[in-house]
Amino acid sequence: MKTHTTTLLALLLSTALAAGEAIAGDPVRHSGQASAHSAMAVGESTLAGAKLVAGAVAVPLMLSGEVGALSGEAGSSLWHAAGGSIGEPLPIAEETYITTPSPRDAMAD
Amino acid sequence: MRRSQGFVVALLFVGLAAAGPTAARSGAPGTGDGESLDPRDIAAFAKQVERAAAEHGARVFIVARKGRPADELPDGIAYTHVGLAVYSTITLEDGRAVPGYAMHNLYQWADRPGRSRIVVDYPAEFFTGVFSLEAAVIIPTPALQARLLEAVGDGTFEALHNPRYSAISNPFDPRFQNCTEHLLDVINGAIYRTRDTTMLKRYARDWFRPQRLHVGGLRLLLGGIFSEEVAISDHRGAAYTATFDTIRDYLDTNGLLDAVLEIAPAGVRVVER
Repeated sequence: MKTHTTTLLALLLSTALAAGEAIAGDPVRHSGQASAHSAMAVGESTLAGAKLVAGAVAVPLMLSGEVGALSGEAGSSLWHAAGGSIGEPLPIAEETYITTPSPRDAMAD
Repeated sequence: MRRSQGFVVALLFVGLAAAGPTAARSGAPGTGDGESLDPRDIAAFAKQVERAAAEHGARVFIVARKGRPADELPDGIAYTHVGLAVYSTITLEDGRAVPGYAMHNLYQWADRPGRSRIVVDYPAEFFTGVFSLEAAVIIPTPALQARLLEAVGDGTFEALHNPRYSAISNPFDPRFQNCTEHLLDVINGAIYRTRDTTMLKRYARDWFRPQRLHVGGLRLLLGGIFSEEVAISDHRGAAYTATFDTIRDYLDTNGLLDAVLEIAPAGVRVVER
């Protein structure tokens, strides 16, 4: 009897754990920044050439009104692209850009 | 209380839990558990996704990633996270401003899985930790892209965030929210130009068809009890939630979808146009 109770409890608990795992999406991976930095290893050792983004600076282009401030050829292309209608091909920078983790994320990593 | 219960269960069955997913994740080349994927491959794939969307002229697109193998997900759910990519000027640390996509996301907190936050990160980070390098992209019509840009620019994206997280949140109920429900709220907020949650839920009930979760009642109940990131109080009977596919169908049905892309390192497949 005691063995049956233990077995039933074990089954219930393992089902519960599996349920949480299966229906919870990708829980760890949702917390993107911390896990991202453990894999991307900010700096040059793991992902050579990755560029850090300064602070939280990403301005939707059609809202920025600062197309002319863009650098080099990309800036020149964008000057035209931003004035065009949605659906026309757009230039994309060659660089890979990543952020730096917040202290809280770094501690949770 | 729920967290401590889950912790005890996790301790009791940690061996069982560790053995299952680890075995399941050792798959074909190009798949892994996130830690095993080469960061250079992830970065190259992220850039491939950016370029594919840019070739279609997308100022705004919806992108989904696969964080877990298919056999660990309920039927009808193929992707585990979605975000909104917005074509932006990105200022790098060296002062240069370059063009690319910024990812606007609802993420769980790593240390509080029952809570979420809004985070702007970038494609290489978005795809870090995925199970396999596969993405699906929804490019809305230009008119909806313009409305979504407005929603990002005027703060609607943040305003519609509910930090009470449930991985299976009911898109017709405002008590909990996951990334797909938030995205649906933002889409409807952009379409109807409102932040009124009551009205947004009304519009969703009238026009959006969510995915039924094929998870047994007992399993759902136990998941709700023992997992901090799963709530069941916003469901009555069977559980329904928003998914990438149901959002795609919603936009398609309402003439708001321009293209759907499936992207893998081997290439880009245009599924709908």
